[in-house]
Amino acid sequence: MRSFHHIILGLALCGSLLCAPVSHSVAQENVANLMLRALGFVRGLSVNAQGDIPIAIVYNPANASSAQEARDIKERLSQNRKTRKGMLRGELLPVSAIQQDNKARAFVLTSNMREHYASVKKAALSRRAFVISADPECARQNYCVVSIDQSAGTKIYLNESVLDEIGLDIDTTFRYLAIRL
Amino acid sequence: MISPYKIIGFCSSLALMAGITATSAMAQSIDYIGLSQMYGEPVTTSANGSPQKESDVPLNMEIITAEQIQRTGARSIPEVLRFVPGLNVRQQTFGQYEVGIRGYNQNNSERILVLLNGRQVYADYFGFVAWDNIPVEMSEIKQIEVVKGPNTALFGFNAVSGVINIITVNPLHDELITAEVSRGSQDYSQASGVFSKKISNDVAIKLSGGGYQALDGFDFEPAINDDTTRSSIVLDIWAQLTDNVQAQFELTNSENDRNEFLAASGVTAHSQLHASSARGRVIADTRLGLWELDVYHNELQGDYDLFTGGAELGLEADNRITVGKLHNTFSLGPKHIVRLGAEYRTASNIFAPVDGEDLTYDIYSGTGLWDWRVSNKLRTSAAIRFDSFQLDPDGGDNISSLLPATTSPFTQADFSQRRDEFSYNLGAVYALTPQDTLRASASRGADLPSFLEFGLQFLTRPSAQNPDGVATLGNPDIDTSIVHNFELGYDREMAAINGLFRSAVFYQYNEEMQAFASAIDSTANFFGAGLGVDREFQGNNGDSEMYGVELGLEGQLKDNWDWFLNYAYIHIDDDLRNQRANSAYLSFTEYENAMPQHTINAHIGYEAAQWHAGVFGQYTSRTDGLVSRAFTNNTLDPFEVNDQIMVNAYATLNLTDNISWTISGTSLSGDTQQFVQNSAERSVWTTIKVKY
Repeated sequence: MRSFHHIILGLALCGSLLCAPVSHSVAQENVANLMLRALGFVRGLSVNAQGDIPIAIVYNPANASSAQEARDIKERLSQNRKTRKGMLRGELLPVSAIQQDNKARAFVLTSNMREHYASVKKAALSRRAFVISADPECARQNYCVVSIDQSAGTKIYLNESVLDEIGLDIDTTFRYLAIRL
Repeated sequence: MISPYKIIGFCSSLALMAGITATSAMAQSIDYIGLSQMYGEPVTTSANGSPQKESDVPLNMEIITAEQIQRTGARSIPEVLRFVPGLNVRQQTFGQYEVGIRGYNQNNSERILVLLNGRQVYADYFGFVAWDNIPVEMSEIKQIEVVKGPNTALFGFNAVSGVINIITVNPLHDELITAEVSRGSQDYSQASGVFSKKISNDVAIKLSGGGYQALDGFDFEPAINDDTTRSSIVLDIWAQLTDNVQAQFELTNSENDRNEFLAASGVTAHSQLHASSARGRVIADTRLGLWELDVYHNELQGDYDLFTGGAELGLEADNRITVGKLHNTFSLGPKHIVRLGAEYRTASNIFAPVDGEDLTYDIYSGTGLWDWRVSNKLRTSAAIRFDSFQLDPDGGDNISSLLPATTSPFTQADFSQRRDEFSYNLGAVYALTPQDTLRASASRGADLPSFLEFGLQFLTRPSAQNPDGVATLGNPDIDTSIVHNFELGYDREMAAINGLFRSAVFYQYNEEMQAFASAIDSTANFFGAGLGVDREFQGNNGDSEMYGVELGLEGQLKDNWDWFLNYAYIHIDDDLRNQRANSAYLSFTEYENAMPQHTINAHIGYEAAQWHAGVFGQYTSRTDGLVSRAFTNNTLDPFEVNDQIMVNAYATLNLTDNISWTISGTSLSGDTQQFVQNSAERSVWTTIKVKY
């Protein structure tokens, strides 16, 4: 019996000594993949004449990392990103041209875009385009519908006010799992 | 009894209404894999009915993913469950496993609720689970969700020790084509296949099936038919009816032959179980919430050759159950999710040829759940359920009419009765820090007696010990068992081991445990002077309380190694009536020493580019208790099962991207005695699997 008490104490000691964030039990996806995967839960993303869902990958040409990130997302989109309604087709879109674009059904924002959130939202409202970002502040500040934060585990923020403003909907299962703002 | 067709018609009307009220919404069954990959952890609905991440679940739940299942090398679900902390798995024969959650694991245990995608797959006539009779192939399992502790507020009767929900691939979300063949010791041969694919944009189909045969090499007495077989086939069709509505139609059929030890521990049997089911489900994602209508009908025929006191006796159970459920899950603002539901179930059972009339029950249930995300750190959940149960003999004759008139003390009126029960589940999960999570839960569960406990009327053939046989009688006066459970849990993510520490302490109080042959009347003589026939009754044998602790560590080393180490301790105190009394009435069962107090599980696995392998070890401490010889001499014999160490292992070599070769084994360190009657033999087998 005494040996089992030692085992319990040993395990408890291990638990109390070791700390800090770690990876999870299911393989974690890249945040760009998560943003694209999240689009699969959006309702009302209509297809174009070719049966595709056009997506604009919005970047800041003045920021090298933003441009690189946009190319990375487009590369991922080229790998057969199929949703229930059709295939996602991504095009790079400089943020300066966002008011001219009239095809995109969704805007996927790269990093370092905070100063452009207002113009992105304005364009989204006029085109009923979904907006998603990897910056939690985008959803918190009422610009994005969905923001995905991977700073400590995965947190997905859903701004239902913006969703309603844009006039789209999202699957209930996604809604109930997200942090709803 | 209301006709099943009326239920289906009524429910279909409700579904149609749900579909009509839907606007731009699109129905969505749970895409478990997609959502799990998004969050980096499993997603479930088994805790309170609404989708939740595993870390948000306010109950003690273990989710075993498809990848983890594959990395056990197991060929049966119980062997996957064996190493989950708090679970006790006992293999009795090649085809008979008993699984218990936190104690009270016995032959034909009726304390856990096992579901296949939410459909009950336990044998309703006695509430036990014939694991090999579940129509599922190992390669189609997406995850197995284990809820420890009562969850009857969500799932209804029987979920008193816990719930095991087996989730399989959904062809709308998961494309899977596999085939495998196996060969091994005990003359084991197995083949299975799964085809799951969308056949158009709106229709998806899954066809799965498989089977095995083996010779039961276990030390089974008396030596009877050793053949152990299993076969199963499932047709599952999903359709996206509109943007708003999905529908499922599923047919299953499964059969198995096995040797087994029945609830009265001295009784052996060769049994043939034939189960079939039909199920229809409609899911509508509307602005009024997520509606789910679920209607299914299960049939199970059990054909037993019982060996009692050297004589062979037949018993057949013909069990039918129809269930209709309607749930609506909706949100009230961003912080509150509410789930309301109504359920009706009707079941009938006949034990032939010893009784001539169906015994039937109807249950009307209402459920309510409130999930409140108080803050980003605190989430609470409260569920309550009310069940109204009506038992009736179906037919004009006395249910015990096939037995001599004086055998049973019960009258027809005793079997017509109504019972009302409520159950609840309260839970909270608090994120102390990003790495630390606390859980607390309290619950009340109700364990309704089974058909067998209410109404079995059975007379053994004469034997040397009992020249006039023994009457085994159901008992309409048996009480519903009530289980109270309280639990605290603490989890901590740990970078140092790239893993997780999990712990739980719990206390459970069981009122009026139900026991097979809980009382023996060996002095009365109901068959006439000098015949000396004994009677034994199903019934309640008293209270029992249990407390325990579970500790677990799991982690990864250098991306190639994965491991876990967990420990479970349980302590059971019985307060049983007439225990060990040498009087007219005896309790056949005691619990406090019949379960291992200490269980340690350990695992290490390695993955390379072309292969992966793993070893699993389990230590269980000594158990002892009483075993009944119900049909032979009506005495209680002590038994003892020594400390056991069990080793399972597997190795898989990926021959190509699509073809793999696996060698697996159980009880590799030698035969293991897992319960009183028998030893599980060392078993080794090899499998070739093709997957696209």
